[in-house]
Amino acid sequence: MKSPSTIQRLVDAGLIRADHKFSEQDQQLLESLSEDEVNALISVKTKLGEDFFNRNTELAYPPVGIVF
Amino acid sequence: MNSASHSRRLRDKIRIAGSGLEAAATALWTHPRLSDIYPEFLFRNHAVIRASVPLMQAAATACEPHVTSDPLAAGIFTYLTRHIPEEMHHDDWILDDLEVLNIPRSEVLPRIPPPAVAALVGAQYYWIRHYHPLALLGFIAVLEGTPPDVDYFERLADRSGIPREAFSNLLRHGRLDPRHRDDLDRALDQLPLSEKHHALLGVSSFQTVHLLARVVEDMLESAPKCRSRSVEALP
Repeated sequence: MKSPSTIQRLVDAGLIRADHKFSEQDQQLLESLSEDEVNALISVKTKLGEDFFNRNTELAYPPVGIVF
Repeated sequence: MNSASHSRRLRDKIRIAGSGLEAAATALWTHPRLSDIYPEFLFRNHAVIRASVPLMQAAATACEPHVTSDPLAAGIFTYLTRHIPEEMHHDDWILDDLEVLNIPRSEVLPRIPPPAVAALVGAQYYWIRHYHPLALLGFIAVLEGTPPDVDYFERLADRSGIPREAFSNLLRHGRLDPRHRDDLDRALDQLPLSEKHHALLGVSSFQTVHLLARVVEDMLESAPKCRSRSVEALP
């Protein structure tokens, strides 16, 4: 089954807390990630913070300010 | 099958990875010696933004031979050729900001750009030339996805003692980027994207978030340390 293994891989990599309770929406989002995307997150050691899991709106500001 | 729009799916993925970038941003904009490090921030921003148009041109060039046979290449090409003129000469805005701070172009342009910037931008040249120019849209989605808040940066300038005129690049982008973000989202939603394409956008955006944070983190790690109170966080 893909979803537990995706979440477990992210837990094992230290990117999310093992005891975090995911909402259904959060789970679906994580389940939608491909193998390549999960590998990329692990590769760059991107922490999936509480902030992300606790909000459904756009990124909090201030933005980093480096623009295109 | 995911029923969300292409742009919504990408934006959700960027949010997944965004906390590190937010932490770097907060550390930057509440730095106790912001006025000291702000010129270096502008230099790094210039090093990134000077590559915006050339990156899009490289991606458009990669797409152009396929526009008649590949709807994805055609869609990317159309978006890029519309967007390139909108991004031209924005690097000059940062050079103008630096001149407000008495740092002339003649000092900025010869400086060797930080390796973190070369990694951030250079990764996109790799994706464009060796895999698929679609990856660049993940990069743009990150950089144009959180427009600078005009009111926030005006107040920050006033509190930090940095002239507002030295924030012209951020303030102009704060006014322009919401529309640019929406334009990109509309373009993404019209592209014929497969699951593999979505994965590429995700990988590129995750990498961009990580490397963009490094550009700021490297600067903060080498910034002068001090114990004074930080610039008060703005609401």
